[in-house]
Amino acid sequence: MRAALKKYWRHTALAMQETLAYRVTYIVNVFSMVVTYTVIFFVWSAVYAGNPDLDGYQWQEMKSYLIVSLFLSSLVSMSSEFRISRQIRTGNIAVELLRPADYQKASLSITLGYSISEGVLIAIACLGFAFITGATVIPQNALTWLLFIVSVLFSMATKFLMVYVFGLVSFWTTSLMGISWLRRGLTDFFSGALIPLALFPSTLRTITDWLPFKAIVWIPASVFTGRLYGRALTRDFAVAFIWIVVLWFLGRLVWKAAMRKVTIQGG
Amino acid sequence: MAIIEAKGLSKTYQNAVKEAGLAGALKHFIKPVFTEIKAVSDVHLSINPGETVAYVGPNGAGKSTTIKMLTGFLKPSGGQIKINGMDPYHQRLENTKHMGVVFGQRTQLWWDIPVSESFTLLRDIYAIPPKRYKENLAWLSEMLGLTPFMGSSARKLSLGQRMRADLALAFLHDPSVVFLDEPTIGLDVAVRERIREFLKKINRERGTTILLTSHDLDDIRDVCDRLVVIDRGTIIYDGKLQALLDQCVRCRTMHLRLTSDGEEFAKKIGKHANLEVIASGPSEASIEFDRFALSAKDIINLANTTGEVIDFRIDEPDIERVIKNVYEGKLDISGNRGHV
Repeated sequence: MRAALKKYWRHTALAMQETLAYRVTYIVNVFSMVVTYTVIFFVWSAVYAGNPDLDGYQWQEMKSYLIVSLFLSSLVSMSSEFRISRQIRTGNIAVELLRPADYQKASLSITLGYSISEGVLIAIACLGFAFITGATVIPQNALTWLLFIVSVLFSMATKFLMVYVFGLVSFWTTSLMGISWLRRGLTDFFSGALIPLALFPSTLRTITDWLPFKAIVWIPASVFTGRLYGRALTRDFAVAFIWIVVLWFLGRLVWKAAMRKVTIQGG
Repeated sequence: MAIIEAKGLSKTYQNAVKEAGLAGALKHFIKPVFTEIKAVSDVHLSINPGETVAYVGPNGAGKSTTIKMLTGFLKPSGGQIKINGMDPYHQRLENTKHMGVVFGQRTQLWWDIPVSESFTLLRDIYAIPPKRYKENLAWLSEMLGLTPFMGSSARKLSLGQRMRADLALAFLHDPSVVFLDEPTIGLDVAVRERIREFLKKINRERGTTILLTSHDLDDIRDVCDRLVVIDRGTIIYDGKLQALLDQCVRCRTMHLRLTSDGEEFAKKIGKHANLEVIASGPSEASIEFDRFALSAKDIINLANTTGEVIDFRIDEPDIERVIKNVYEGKLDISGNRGHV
């Protein structure tokens, strides 16, 4: 058990080092995120200029929501997706397969490494953002902070598994571009990264309630702003957790199919 | 007991059949048609612990496919494999613990971080005990001269340095069997030499079983005591390298200098059953002949019918020619077919 933890932790440690080796890319990524969200921020502030209350969302709460959403959308970055698809395309995946390490767990560990080193910088950027825009809505007690941290872990797990499954699809498509656009489009829309889910029409909201995307942005951001608590929170956590389990096994399944494909057509 | 055992191993790929042009592509899109290509068929291999085996064959003969199946990366279409008593495909994770692999065209190194970090990664992946890890690392670094670039990132290494690092990584966890697919491809003579020395030493001192594919005949002669030749998916020779050479002593090459035109001479005797003119010029000719059928004197007598032999020289067969002859089916090796 300890050996296993050490084995996967080493993947995480190396991934952290790798992001640090790309100092410029690292900073440019964060910068582009900040630019995107500056735009989004101004769009929303224009929406709020005419009416201070949008279906129960005050501008103050919205500011916090947007910042947390920025943080979460940047956490599991595209580097993970690119890594998997690159390995498939170049055939370098053979090298990793011939070691006694589980590919899915190793990929998860590596993504965690990317997220930790990128997360620190993004968190700093977000704090700066909060300071400049005067976002004041934050969790009021330790329990909420704790629930927020748990929800962030759920968010990362869900997003990683989606990236992993979509990344594996490169086994069939050889190119990642289309697949990646599809995944990002779905995620941005259904996770609440663009528009808080509470502002969706009710039928659409019912649908998103049962989809896994919600856990990526909406749940943690709403826990953070104090909108999600009690029974609704328990329900959302339960659904998110079930999805993580389902996606984990879906990852296994897609992996098996991908391996069969390699078997038939050659590496 | 054999450490590598393959019985009736075969691999069939499906290959898309597309007609030319847009219409063909469209047709394939709607109703794909595949043909089966037999990459490897009915291969039997049995390799004992401590053996060093060269697995050779022309491009596309099925070498890499066999290696991919033996290492557990590809699932065989038929037949059985046991490596250390395990099925490498179905018990992949367990099997890889005792196995090392180097694909000459790929690397295990993390591209952007120091080489030494890739070693710590493998230390933790294979759970190598700290003391053993230290010993092995020191030993491998010394043998392969890794120290100068342990701190550089892999992307800054030369091909030779990268290959040496990859070899060290493959042997780090004391594997009992190591597969090397073209380990010396693209390397200069000095590095190749160093790698060969390393392989011989590790085989001698640790008894590691080595199976390597290579187009470099020095690799084969220097490192391996057994030769397996595959062509078009089937094994056409399996035996001692020396035995093959001995057998091939029957074909010798004679270089003649003539007073007459060599090409005319070549034309005249070219149809003779037991010899072949391999080169000819205005006043010279090189002839390969079966020494059991013809003697050197016979050749000279033949030559003297068109002109006069001024000088001659006889070459004993070199390994390159021998193997080429095996590929081309010119050699009678039926005695060794299927030999284990």
